[in-house]
Amino acid sequence: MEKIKKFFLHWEWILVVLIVATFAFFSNKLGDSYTFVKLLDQTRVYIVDVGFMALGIMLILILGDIDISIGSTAALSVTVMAVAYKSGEGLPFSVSILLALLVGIVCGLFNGVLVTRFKELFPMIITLSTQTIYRGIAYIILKDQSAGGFPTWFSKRLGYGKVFDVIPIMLLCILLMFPIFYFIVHRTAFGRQLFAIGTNINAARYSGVRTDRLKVLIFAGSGLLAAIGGIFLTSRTGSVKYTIATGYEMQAIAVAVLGGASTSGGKGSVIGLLLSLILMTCLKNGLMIAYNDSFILNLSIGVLLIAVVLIPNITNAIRAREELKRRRQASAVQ
Amino acid sequence: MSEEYLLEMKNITKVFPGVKALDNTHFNLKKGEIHALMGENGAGKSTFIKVLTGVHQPDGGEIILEGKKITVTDPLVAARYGIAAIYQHLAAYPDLTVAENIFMGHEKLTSGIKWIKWGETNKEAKRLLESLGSDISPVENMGALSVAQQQLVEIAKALSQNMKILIMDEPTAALSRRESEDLYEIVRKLRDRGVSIILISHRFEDMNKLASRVTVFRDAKYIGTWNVGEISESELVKQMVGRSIDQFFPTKTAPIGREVLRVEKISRTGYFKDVSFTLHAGEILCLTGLVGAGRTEVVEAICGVTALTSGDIYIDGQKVQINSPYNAQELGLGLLPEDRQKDGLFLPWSIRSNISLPSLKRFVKKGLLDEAAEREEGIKYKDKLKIRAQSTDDILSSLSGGNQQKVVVSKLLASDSQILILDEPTKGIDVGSKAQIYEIMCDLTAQGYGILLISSELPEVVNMADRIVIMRGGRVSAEIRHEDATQENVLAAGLPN
Repeated sequence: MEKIKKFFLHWEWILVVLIVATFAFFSNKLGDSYTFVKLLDQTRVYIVDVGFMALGIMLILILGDIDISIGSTAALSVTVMAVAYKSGEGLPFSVSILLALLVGIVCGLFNGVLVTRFKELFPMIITLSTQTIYRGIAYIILKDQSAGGFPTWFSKRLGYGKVFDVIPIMLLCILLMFPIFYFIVHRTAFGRQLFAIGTNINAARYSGVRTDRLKVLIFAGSGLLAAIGGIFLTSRTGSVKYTIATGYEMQAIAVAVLGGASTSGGKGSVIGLLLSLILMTCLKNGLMIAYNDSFILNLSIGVLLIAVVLIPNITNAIRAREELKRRRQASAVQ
Repeated sequence: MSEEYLLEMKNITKVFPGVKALDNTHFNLKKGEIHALMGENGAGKSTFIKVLTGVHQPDGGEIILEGKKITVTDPLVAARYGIAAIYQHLAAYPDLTVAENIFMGHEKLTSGIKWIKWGETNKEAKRLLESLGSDISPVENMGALSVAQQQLVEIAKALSQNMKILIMDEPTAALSRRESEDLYEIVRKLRDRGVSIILISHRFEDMNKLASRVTVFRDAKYIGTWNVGEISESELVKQMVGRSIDQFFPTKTAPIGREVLRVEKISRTGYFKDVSFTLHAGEILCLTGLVGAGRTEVVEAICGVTALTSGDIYIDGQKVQINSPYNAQELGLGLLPEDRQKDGLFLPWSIRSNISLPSLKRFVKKGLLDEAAEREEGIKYKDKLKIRAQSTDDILSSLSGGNQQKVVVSKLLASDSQILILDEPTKGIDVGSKAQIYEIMCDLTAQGYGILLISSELPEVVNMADRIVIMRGGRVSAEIRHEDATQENVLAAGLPN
């Protein structure tokens, strides 16, 4: 009984409850315009590109760092992709995509090297600078133009294609990432070392964890994931402007924190992240249909985020009280 | 009876959920007396002090100050009664000045708008510090001071509030010998001014040099009060531990084998110069000297935490290059860092994941971590080192200091290092755990490990080491063999000329 109680006090279960509650509320209120199938369609907007970035951000949060340049990284990557492809007159599209991925890695690598070399500077400040730098470069390349003309398989099949007419192809792409990340983060020595760095970086170093190397690697990986997110975003929009993916870093951070990661490091959950993405989809889509106003949508996300910070505190308090009760009972038995 | 005492604490009981932290404990303090409070970690000393300073409320018993029963609801009330505490981990504001720290909470203000009277603040701070025989500038930043100086500022702070009772928690734990002597002098000065002092310390030397009486707690219970000098150290240990520790220092029998580590003329500019020594299998080599002599810096450089400017390191006769702790570990060098909380432990983690971290590779099966194997390894060390916990899934922050230290040692042993560098392995842990750590060290040498021990505690140095290398001002000043070592000649070799 106690075990079952403890199990249900996990953060993931709270997310599940929130998902069910949100879904029930909106499907009751909105009826036919808010169904499971329609939500599945909307996952292309709310899960895929943010999801890739959130995976990267979660790893960085586990390390105890932060990266707010990933929106710009995504923008610069797809800008390079679009310019290299030049509507079919430039490089082959596959090479353009590889270039975009490479740009993402380089941007992340640059962040990582700065963060590990200049330990006296906060990663927040470093990536705030690179945020403007990367987007600045994207602007220099594209100016106010938009670039597009991508192959049909990219903007039609990948962007809008569905399996069995129901499940978006891009949704399958990101869902595939979660088991892989689950094992890497929670079940390997590598993942354990990431948590070690975020929990106590000195002790990690003394224990033979190569802290700087891992950090650079994760920042580079986060850049790569940002580029992938940007590419999926582009397949939906069909064209690229330098402003693409603006503000995505904040959405990604919000999702990762809602999923159980902590900005103070050493905490994070892949399952929690997936659940928080689903919750966001249910909520944002419902709000969008109900009010059709992005202002209300953003406001609600703000409220939700504050709640996210509060709810773990409340659950911790409940857990502490349960623990106290358990100990009291134990001492009474003795 | 009550006329005689400034402070009497009677039948103090404090119950935390599931544990009795204090069970009918007593303590009394005369005016102008230094009274030592001793006991193992977890004996209830800290809780007792927190009851007196109002951090915890007692569940039973009474506190009588100058014949009147008082209730201390919080630390501010304690301060109003003239009770102040200086904790082991100083609670100073490093970015504020010395004067600001001294008058924090009771600033000198102008009437009306309440500006701070800076001139008077600094002048008064200077006067207080000078009365303690110190020339620390009141406008210096707190963070720029040494631990000893910060302690002095804390004492000045207590004086500025006209404290009657000063509680000092492990005041000499972070001090060098010289600094400790200076502190003794200041504490005596305070006593002569009529301040009564409660001294909590693991060091017998503190008690012998300062206190007139000593009270012992054990397992949350009051054991007794004696006049210092009327009770022998071994008897005190027996009272604290609850059994006599016949052989506090075990006899080391391991034969000395081949050379495992040799450093030749290693230097790091600004820290140490031309340090050379050799460590053999089965040997305990002790590196000692005053705090600040460069001992910790030497081992940090050997383990790749910091870089050497010159000199060579040989492991098993092979010249090696060590650039990082990872490197050091690959070469079979294991370091037990001095500050275990900061550099050794993952407090929110379980015992087993703390132990396995440096050797994670061994617990990987088909690419994934094998938690069963990890738990098994944890249990092995939990039994071997007698770590007191319910299971290896217990969280580190729930363990006592001594048990945490055993986890750090386990971590080191599990990592398969042949050369163990132990930096102050018994710092801040209780007598019983100390004896266990010494036993473990002897066992390890018998198994062929080479141990480089860094220690400031002279009895430990003299009794445990096969050879003692003494550092002074960043250089090796002497090397003494076990047979020739006495506390006096080791100390003399470390003191500046």
